[in-house]
Amino acid sequence: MKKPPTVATTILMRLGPEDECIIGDLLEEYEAGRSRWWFWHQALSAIVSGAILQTRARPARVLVAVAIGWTSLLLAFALLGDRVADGLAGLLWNWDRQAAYVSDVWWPFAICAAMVSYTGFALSAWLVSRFTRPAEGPMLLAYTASVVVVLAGSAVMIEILTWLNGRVPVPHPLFYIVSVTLPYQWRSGLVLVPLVIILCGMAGHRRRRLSS
Amino acid sequence: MDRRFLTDFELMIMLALLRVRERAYGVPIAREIEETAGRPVTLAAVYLALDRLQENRLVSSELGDPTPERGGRAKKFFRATPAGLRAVRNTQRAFVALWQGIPELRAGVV
Repeated sequence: MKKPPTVATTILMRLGPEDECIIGDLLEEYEAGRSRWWFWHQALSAIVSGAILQTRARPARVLVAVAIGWTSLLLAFALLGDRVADGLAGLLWNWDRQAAYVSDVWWPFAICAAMVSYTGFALSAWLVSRFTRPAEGPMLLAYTASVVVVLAGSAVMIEILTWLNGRVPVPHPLFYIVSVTLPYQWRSGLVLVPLVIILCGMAGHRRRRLSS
Repeated sequence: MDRRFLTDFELMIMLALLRVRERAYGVPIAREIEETAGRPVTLAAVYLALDRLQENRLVSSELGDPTPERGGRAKKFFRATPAGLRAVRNTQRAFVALWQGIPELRAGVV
């Protein structure tokens, strides 16, 4: 059997549709001589269409997936949040919050807060994948989309507030999640957060084999 | 009378499916549209449309046997239902009726 592109196949197996007929069609066509580019294009389309099909067929499950993701994310932030970030920054760089109010050195906290945030995103993604089987791929994409929408909206608000106030509004109570994750690097966060969610979510997926 | 109409892409899918006849699954349906109609399609778009058609009971499907060149995965064969055939005819009638009386679209004009 002609071996299709490994990365495209891995992503397709993890995030692709529950109904495997389309995967079979892609393999059959690739075997018949289609190009690698063709396979990539078709695989990504199949992933998106699989998510659309699942959303249309099971809207309640999508809501459950998004609820699991956001609940675990908020719980992780509430339980870990500043406390862990503070402790970690102290441990790694001898950083102290009270001293920071005087010295205005916040970068150790910012780095640790981002680490805690990304741990929260990773954990929530893994939980979404574990609890939405057998349609975990499309459900993970739905949760990722919800996070991107919220982050993008919050980032826009932060930009507006920054423009109005002349400085980054940290910490901002309305956008706690974003204020921990994004103020210092929201542009990269809009790329890194969905990437972390998808990669860590894929770790919680069932293993599907190319040849079953 | 069934007044269900199809979108242009659904109509293409139905016609391709009817042309392929017995062994109509994703690959030959997509090929038929690309080769006969000249419209490039992704398999995902074909399956999305087929899913919608099946939801509306315009096509039915059954699984075939798994084959090695498909990584051991089965084919899903589609067939038009009587309601699907009616929908194709309704849509054709609607298109033909709309076509008439447009001098710019008469053969040889454009």
